[in-house]
Amino acid sequence: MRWATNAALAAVLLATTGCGSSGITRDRLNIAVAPTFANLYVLQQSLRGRTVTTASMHAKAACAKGGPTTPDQGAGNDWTCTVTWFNVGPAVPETASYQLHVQTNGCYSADGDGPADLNGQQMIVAADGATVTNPLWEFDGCFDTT
Amino acid sequence: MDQSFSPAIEALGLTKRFEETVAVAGVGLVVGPGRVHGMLGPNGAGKTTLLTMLMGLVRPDAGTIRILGRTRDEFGACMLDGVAGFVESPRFYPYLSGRRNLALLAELDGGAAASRIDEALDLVDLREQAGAKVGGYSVGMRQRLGIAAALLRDPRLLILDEPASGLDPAGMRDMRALVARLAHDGTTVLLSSHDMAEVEELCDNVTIMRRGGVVFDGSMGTLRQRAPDPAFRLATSDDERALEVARDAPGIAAAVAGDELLVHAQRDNLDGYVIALGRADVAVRRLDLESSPLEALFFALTEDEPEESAEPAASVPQEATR
Amino acid sequence: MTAVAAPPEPRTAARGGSWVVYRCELAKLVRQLKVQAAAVVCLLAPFLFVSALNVQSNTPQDTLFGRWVHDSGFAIPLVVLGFAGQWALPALTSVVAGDIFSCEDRYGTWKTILTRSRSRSQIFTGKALAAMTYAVAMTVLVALSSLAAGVLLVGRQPLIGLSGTLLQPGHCTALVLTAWATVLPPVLAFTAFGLLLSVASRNSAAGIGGPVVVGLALQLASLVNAPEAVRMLLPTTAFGAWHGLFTEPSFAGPLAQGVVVSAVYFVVCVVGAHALLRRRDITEG
Repeated sequence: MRWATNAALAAVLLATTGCGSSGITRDRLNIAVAPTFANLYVLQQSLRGRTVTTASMHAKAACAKGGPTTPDQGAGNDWTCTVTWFNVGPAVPETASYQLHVQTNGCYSADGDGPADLNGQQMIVAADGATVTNPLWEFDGCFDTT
Repeated sequence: MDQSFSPAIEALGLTKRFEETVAVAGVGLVVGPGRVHGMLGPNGAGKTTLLTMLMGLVRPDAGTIRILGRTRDEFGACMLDGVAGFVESPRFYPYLSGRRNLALLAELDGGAAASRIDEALDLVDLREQAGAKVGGYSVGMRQRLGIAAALLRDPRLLILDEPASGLDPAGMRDMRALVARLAHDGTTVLLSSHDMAEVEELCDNVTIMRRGGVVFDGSMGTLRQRAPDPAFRLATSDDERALEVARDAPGIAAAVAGDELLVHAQRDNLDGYVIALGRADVAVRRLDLESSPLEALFFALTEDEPEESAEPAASVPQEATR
Repeated sequence: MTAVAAPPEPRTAARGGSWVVYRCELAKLVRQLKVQAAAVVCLLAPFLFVSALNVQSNTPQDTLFGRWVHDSGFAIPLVVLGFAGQWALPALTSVVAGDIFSCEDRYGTWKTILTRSRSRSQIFTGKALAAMTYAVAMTVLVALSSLAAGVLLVGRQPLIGLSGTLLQPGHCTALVLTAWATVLPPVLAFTAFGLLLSVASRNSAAGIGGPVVVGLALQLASLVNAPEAVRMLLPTTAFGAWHGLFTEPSFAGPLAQGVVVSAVYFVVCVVGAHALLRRRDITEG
């Protein structure tokens, strides 16, 4: 009981003084989402019968939280990320959008927000004709908040 | 007391307070080895608190305890080696059988305790029911299991708190015989009881407690010497005449108590009085022993004085205490 | 019963007493209906869970790996871990830990066991170890059972990790077992909390209910966007620290924090419970 009270007290103190900021920042999210997307894109393309490598993609993510006035940090379901990568040769950039629900523990779930061909369908038809789960429709990831 | 052995129990100046209540106030208790020591007192006299302190369950506020020559400071939990018994009614795990309960306790005891389980069950006559769950046991069966659990430790000092409570008359007789036998074999027994007859039958020495203090401590012989004449209830055909006869009879103290007479007398004097009543044409319709001498003394010792308490007046006349 | 009239000789029976008490407590535990029931639930619940998932096309998407439950059997133990961590594991462990001291109050058996030449510290250590053994055993049981349920009822397909990489079956098995192992520190912290409540309240309802309520309350608290420092100090946070194992590269910062925080709670609760039991006057029961 004693420790519970102390812990609660510490929590209240820390919360009210605002010390100790959230471990969820835009930079961390950018660094986490880009390679995850790249890996899943390679997977999706291989299901569709195309061979791509993550190294050739040079994927980058640009994430932001809420509107322009909202600081880009902290958990919430109002994060959006735009991933940019190079598909065929360095001259053809492509982009994809995701809405992210980022949890306090540094795990997020990304919900595809276009283009429809890439992440608009839950199921896709693989090269061998089978219907499989589209890895880019929605995906989960985690990053270190410590 | 045998001086060649240290006392089995040597408690000095024990005091225990529970918040505002003083349960035990400066009590000393010395029990010689091989003795059966009785502890008497009404409810709330502090007997149970004293026993829990002796068994290390309650920490005394003041005083020292030496059991079989050992103190808790020197020996820790080993202080209770060779000591067994129970305070208040013995309790067990209801979801386990009697035998399983004993097996668990024997494992805690270690040593040869487990090999004594059957013997202990036989001694308390529980062998047949040992396989049943304790939850279904009667009070008397649990009491007997408590004694069996104590015997597993092959004790040199046995502390028993009201061991006969919950037992039927036959069980009580067996229990007393068992205590007598253990004592005969050299076990020291501290027996707490509220039954003077039980203490009188079994004990060499007795400590009588009242309100957290000791009001008598000594041998049964000393106690008997201090005992008053026994009291009898007498119903006659003519109480007034009987009172007149009593005035002339030697060693008779009679008084009206309700619609009967209360007579204090030694047996010899009482015989003479009854004969005298017959001669005086007074018929004796009923004559009962109201209280034995020791009971009378016990009541007198443990009864609250009128000025200290508003409880009902003593049923024993005041002269009985002298 | 022959009484020995020898002078006192200090016995060494009390040495190794904690171990004896521990064995006695385990013997008592395995005969308790609730422990048997808990073991059956731990063993069967994952299989029932997978069976229920298999008859519907929906997936529990609000939990990590929930969307893969039909695609890889290795997702099953991780989904169970996500569900179980926050409240089921505290509840599971406190069923025994919250009751292991107060049951002696309920049965009135403190006097029975404390008059058998075992010190209170030995009784405490034995009981605490028994409660921890139960907690670890049940956690291992759910872990193995849910892994078995996943592999047997869904299959050994590769699993997509939390950085989008494909994890091969052998690697998955190791990762799943490691992930379950990482919840042992917080489980033991909650066990210690249950022990403390059991000693302090002398009441099994408080001892069992307390950790569950605290677990649920802290789970709610952790959803709020609290400062990282606060979140870090919550004992429930460590239940979700395993996800770093499934990223590429993996990270162990939350795990290390979880171990330290759990250890602090564990030590504080155990030391407190021990002190309370040592000082207690056994006047009733």
